[in-house]
Amino acid sequence: MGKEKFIPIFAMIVLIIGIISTLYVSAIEKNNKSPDNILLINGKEYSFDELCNDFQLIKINTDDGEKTGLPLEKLISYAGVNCPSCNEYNFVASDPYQKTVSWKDVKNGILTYSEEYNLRVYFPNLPHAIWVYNLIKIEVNKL
Amino acid sequence: MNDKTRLLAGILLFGSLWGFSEVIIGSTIADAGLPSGGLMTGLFVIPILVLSRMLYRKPGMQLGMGFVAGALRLFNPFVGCQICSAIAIMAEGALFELIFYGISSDFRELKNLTMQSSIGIFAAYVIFVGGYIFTQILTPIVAGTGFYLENLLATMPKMLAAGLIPALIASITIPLVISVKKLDISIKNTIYYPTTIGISILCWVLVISSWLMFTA
Repeated sequence: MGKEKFIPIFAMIVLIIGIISTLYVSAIEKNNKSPDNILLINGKEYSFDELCNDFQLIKINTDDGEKTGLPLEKLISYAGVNCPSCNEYNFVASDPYQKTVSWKDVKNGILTYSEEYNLRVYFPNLPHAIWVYNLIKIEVNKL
Repeated sequence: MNDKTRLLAGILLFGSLWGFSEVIIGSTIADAGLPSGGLMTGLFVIPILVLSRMLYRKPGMQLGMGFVAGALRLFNPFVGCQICSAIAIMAEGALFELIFYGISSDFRELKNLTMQSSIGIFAAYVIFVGGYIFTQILTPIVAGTGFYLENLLATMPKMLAAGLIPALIASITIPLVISVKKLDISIKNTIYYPTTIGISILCWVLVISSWLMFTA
């Protein structure tokens, strides 16, 4: 089979993969979307508004400017994690992008809310790719 | 001056334009809340790569352009992991070389619109998704958080979906770029070298100035 045949076929294949993946991601996002900014930490549900009443907001400096949010260090303890440094933390988004972060970085991080990114974590010493947005879950995994 | 020097000047020019578009135009698009990566790949990156291949007809040139663009990307103040995005750009140049390895340098296979759109779709999709995957592997390793295969697999649908926008854009931009082939572009050496080097320097100056302004 010549190039004249297989190049359009390859193009069709990647288009089909792209369309199916787009539909899949949209469906997953819709399914995972929390209307009240509910976050699952270590298997327990917390509303961001409630957390804001229980904890004081702090400011951190990042390479994207100053950010204000709830200290992740306190949220993790509040969620009943007894030995925070004995675990690593998986931050899962609704789409479902996810990143795993060690306690060393989690304790410097904050949880924020904005119209653009919904719930988002910021870690001052980590690249932006680790700053998961549309966050729905923080999983605690034993090291 | 011989063909090699002419080619090197071309690599510097098109690599600088690629790096400049990624840093300056890409950041502007991102600030506007648009999907900058996909738009950049479909509107600028793939057209620049195809145009350079068409004009110079030298395999390996786009890999060199990837190194120049990647080096320029190191001065991007708007991303957290400069080295990761720089290496991802170099990987995109390498992917382009792989995809176009079997295509003749005069693009004679791409004679009709279907073929031109198809190669645009396939190249843009593979290069964008490939670069995305590469960044997702590299960034956690460079950041010291470690690479987790389960994170990459969970993110795979999002990455495969993200390739759709650049593929659709390139299905239009690549036939447009290939139509330029009908124009006879021949520039004398006396104009070629000052122009290529001048534009390249301008790209570097603008990127480094924005970097200095942001970090100052």
